Amino acid sequence: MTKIFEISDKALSSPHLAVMLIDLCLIRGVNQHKLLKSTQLFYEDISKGEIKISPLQLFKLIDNSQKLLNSHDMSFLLGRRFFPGNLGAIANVLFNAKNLSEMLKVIISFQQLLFPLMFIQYKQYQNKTYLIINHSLGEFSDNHTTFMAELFCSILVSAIKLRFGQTFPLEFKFPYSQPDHIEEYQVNLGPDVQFDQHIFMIGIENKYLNIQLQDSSKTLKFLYLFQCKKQRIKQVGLIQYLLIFLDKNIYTTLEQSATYLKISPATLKRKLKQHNTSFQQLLDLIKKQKAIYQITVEGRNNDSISNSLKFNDTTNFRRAFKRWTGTTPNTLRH
Amino acid sequence: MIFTFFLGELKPINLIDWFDVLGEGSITLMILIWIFFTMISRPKGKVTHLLISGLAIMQLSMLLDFLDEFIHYSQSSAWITTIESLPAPIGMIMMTIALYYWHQEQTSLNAQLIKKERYFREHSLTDYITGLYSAEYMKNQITREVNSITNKSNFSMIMLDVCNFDAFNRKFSDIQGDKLLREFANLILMNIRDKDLACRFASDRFIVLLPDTHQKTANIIANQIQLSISHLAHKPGQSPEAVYHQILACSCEYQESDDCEILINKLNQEMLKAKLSQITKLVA
Repeated sequence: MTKIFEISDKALSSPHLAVMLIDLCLIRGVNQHKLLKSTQLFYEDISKGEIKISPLQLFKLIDNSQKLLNSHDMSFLLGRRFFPGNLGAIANVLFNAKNLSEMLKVIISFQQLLFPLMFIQYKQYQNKTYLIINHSLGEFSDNHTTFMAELFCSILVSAIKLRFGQTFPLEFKFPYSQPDHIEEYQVNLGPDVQFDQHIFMIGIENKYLNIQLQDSSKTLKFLYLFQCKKQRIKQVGLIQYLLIFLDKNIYTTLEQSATYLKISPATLKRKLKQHNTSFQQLLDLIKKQKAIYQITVEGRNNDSISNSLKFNDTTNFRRAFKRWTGTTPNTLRH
Repeated sequence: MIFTFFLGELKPINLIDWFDVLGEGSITLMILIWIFFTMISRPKGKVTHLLISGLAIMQLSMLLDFLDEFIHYSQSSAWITTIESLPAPIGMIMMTIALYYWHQEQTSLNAQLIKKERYFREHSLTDYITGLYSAEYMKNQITREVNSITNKSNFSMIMLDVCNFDAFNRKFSDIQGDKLLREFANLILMNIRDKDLACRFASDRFIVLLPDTHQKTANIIANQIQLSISHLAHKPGQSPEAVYHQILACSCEYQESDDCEILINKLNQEMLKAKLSQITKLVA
């Protein structure tokens, strides 16, 4: 049975990310007390390494670090250090994956162990693979969205760099507008970076997924995989849980979703509010992402998309699309 | 002062203790000097007012004490000798309060200085790690250069990228990585001309603007930077063993109708090519 955790639950068993962030800030001369202010974290506890922290505490810490440092490369630096870091057995599994395709599969199935704050939906079309990434516990500000996206991409790119000794051509689509520090994207992520795409998606050609890693060991991989399966935490962020459910049932109501979560609709509403979102927002998000994927990747026409999203007619779909993105499906095609 | 003369009468010369006169007189004089210097060296404000008032009250006490030596008070006016020492502690208290405010003032001044640094960091004009200006500043400068371009002059750009910086960081820690970047920044500065501008672009990448320069010269300078970096026997931390580094370089020259964004994109593309050719070189 999967346990659902929420923003204020102290469920992040590994303070890995928090510790790395604190270290980076201290190196840069940030005052420790100011950094930990209102995070309810204590340096002594963290350095002992046995505490569990909540996503909210981590977000607050990120927020503080951004305010105190105001350097735009924190997310990228953090991402570079993330893997292998001290992730333990799972890092060894990743190290012994035979190619990128296998690495991605490990990342997706052990997402809770690796990166419980965001999750990947994996899609393939023709000769390309696409990763659609969403937040497991909601988004809290533009800064938060940007930071997490940068962190995620940086982790992925530096893991590839570490294992393959080079980066592969990846295409990045970000939901937000081009930030001022675009050069960080150019240097860290490569030339193919697009903004205002209403979706956070990474694309890669399949031929790169199958490049063999000569120094990987199947035996070691299985050994560590076995260890990971034992320590695998069967828990998932509330928003992630709900989004995955909505992805499969796009005409679900709030009531049905509440029943699925075994809570009352009022409680669900309240919980979603705590995660800075609402049922309608999440439903729109899923539909929007499906529409954008079908338009930009699969190149489907409006009729086909409005059918697949169960709209009565194309006019309704176009209107809804305009509401989600501020633009029409046709503008997105060009 | 006149009041004291009015209350008492002058002592006969032989009763004056000249030793006391010297001691108390010099203190009175010193306090006057203190007041003078406080007034000329400090800007007006609460702290200054308090300091000067405190000093003035001290001065009053000292002056009364001083005049004591010359004036003899009658029985009825003897109270003045009992209260003459009263202003001194009041003055001291006021000065102590002033000192406390002064401390606060200094702390806030320090904070303002830090804010100034932050201010620059916030607007990412200077880079904390290398001490160079950041990409934002460079972009402004490029735009300025593009706008002021004439038929005769042309400018070039160099981009530099440290090879295997990630691996170095992983091996020697981030602090050493930061130090390395700082050293590279210094080396780059040493190898460029006075009119050139070097900035940190992002992460382990630097960018140099060379006004009135053609690509040929830019390539020569880029080459010199590469040479000087490859000769640097860098010793991370306490390690006695030197680590040698390579830096990739590419250049481009301004062409008509280019703008800042196009130029930087060109450089990024060139850098990508340079990286790819380096990887194939390693494989071959």
